[in-house]
Amino acid sequence: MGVEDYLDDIKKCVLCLKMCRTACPVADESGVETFTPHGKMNLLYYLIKGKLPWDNENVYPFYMCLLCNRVDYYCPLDVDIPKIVKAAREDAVKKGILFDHVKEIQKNILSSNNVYGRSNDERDKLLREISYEEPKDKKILIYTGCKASFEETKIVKNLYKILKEHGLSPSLLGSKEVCCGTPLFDLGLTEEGKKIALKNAEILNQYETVIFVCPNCYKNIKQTYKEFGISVNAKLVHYSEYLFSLLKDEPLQKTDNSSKFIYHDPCKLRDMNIIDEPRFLIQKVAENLIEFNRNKKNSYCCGRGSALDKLDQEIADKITINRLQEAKDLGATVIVSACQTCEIAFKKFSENFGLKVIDLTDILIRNEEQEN
Amino acid sequence: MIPKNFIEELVGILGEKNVSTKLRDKIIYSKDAWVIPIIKFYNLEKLSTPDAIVWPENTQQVSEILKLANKYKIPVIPYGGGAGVTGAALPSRGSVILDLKKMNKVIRVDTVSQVAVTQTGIIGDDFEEIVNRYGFTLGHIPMSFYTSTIGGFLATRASGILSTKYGNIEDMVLGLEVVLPNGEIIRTKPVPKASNGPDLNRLFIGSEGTLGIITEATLKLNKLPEERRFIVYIFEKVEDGLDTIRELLQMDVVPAITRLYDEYDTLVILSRIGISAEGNLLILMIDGIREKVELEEKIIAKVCKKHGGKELDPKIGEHWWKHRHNQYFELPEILDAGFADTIEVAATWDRLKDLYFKIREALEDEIMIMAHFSHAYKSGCAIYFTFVGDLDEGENKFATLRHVWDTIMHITNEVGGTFSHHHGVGIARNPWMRQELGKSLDLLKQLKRALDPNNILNPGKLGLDGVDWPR
Repeated sequence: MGVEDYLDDIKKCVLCLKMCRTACPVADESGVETFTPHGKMNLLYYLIKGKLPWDNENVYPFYMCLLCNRVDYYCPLDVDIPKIVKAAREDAVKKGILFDHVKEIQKNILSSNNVYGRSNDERDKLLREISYEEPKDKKILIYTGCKASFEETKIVKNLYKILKEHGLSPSLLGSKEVCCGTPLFDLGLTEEGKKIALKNAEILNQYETVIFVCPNCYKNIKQTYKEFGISVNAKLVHYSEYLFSLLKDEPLQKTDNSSKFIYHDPCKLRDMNIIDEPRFLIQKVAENLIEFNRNKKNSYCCGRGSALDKLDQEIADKITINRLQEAKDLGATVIVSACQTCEIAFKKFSENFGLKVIDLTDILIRNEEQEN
Repeated sequence: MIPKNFIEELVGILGEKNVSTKLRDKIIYSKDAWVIPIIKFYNLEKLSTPDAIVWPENTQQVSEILKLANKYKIPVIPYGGGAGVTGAALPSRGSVILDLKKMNKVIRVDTVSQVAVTQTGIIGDDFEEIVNRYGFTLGHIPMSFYTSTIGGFLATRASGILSTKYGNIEDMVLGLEVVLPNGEIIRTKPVPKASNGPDLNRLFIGSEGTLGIITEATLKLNKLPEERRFIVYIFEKVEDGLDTIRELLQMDVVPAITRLYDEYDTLVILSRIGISAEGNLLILMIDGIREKVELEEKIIAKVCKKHGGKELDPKIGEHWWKHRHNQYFELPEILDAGFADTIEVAATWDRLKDLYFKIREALEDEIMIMAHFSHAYKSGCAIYFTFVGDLDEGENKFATLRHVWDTIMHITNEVGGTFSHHHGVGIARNPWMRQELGKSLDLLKQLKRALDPNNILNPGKLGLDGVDWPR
């Protein structure tokens, strides 16, 4: 759908009183009216009506967006802002407007099958490190995602270990894994996204269950692919959901009574209604779990959504710091999340706030180790 | 047209990233929440756009911008959330918008004195969330809470939904930092009370950015309440609901929320958030220590019943609290071909009913008009009218809207009320400012001239320049 198809919703925004402003971390940290969801929709109204030209200057605000969808919690008119922003980006790309960071990510994914543009063979290193054994069947696949294949590899190691200890033999794709296409769909490169989606669907359909490490891959493959008529028949779950089913009845010990844990809801898990499962697991093994004020359906982004840091590093960092400050003010000592993007963002500054950043699997594996 | 040198000097002060002359930004900054620019924007009509927008990051930069503006005689429009409904933050031709939202830090929360020092560009909801971390609340939650700033609250002398107990914004201020129109920075002492001459805080609170730019404020905080309880009654006659509120307040039972919807507001507005009731709905919220709340609840029940009130499920109040920000925002279907607007007036109790009925009677055959009574005091109360009508054909599409305003302003003056309880003057109330202030307007003009001889700060607002509504 092009932006013009959303004109009725955009009109609602033009006539609304900006109740979305507080929702938007980019507007919060930039102070720029044009970057609020309301501002973006007003700008789009002028673009659609031909009162402003489609050019770099006028398209720029649509890339000043994390696609975090916190606005969904605030919008009284139920306007799907991320969807409209993505449509605006897609229309801009069709008109030949491609920002440098968009071109770079496009090139990386299309040439190397990962968002970094690194050799995809590097994904096999992780397989070697976990002494991966190819299972005979194709029951369970761990779909690692780019971030956990190249950077936050420990999560995959933890997850693989827990599953093996429970007698399960998950498959991993290593260098055969292809980026899910989230950055392509998000940045307006929809046609390329669809091609990569078809490739992924073919691979994933060979398995009964696919466990996603990355919330972005999870939401993209489970929801966005479907919107484009690309069906994946395997059961698709995020690892926090899977571990919840696996461990919920196990008598795990509460092993950490001194740390004050705080759970950060990743935007995409919040969107997919995975809110209680991670909390349940943390509370199973930790005594003190506190909450952010801005939590659950109202959770605040880590600042790294939709490659904002590639366009405006300063604003992205300010958003990350804003979230860390909240955790510190509330007395937390450890931030737990279930998203590699969030964890990478937080780790950049967490030491300045005296905070540790861990993944949900870290806290569970620690417990498992102590149990054994 | 602003001289090129002026822009270059602005960039010298603020850096390139904090100065915009982009058309896209000029357009976005050309409206606030006043119905007239919204409708004009929607209809793609010619807008009054600024020549530039600047985002200072500290008080010193605000000062330097104002000094520069004086040098070049360029008007500067202070801008918070652009959430006002009177056009107070609208740009005039050849002006610069000074957006304060990059000055959005809470500098200090003093848990001993229970005060916070904050920059004024912070959004109300963000400020509240930060002080909540320490177990406090400001107790100031206007309808625009998600989109307006602390600076906006101060500049318009605003009220929040909890004002009956927690007070209005002017009651929450200990001290201010203000940049005067000539760029000089002054600070008032952040003390609980002083007897050191006229209260200078009050000179700037409500001055709508015409006398100075408030850059920092020390604000009183309240403990987050242990208990919050809703009480809902329905009254056959609106007068009985008003008598109930007056009696409660005058016997020092002070709910945080007192909100009496007349039968039309009950029917039209509350149905938008799924509350259906017939009559005049009274929503009260009491909060604080549990024992106190329980006692107040008993007294309130007695007084409500004495005045013929019928108790309804308190869940209606909880539902209203949760959805209160949604009730006025399904405007598109109205604004597509008509107007929806609000006017909030106030008077002492002895005149209040008269004021309400006279306005109703004067307008009910012409437009859809409804009201609620909120922000109550021992001595009186505000009336918040909401009205919906059609735009006119021909040259002046706002003729009916203007007629409604004229009528309400005239009756309010005749009865002895004030023409605005908390929305402020902006451009919308300019035409009636002389009627409201009488000779005091001359004093205000003298103050303006003394502080701002070049008329740099927010010209055309607060009835100071005779500017009328845009056509």
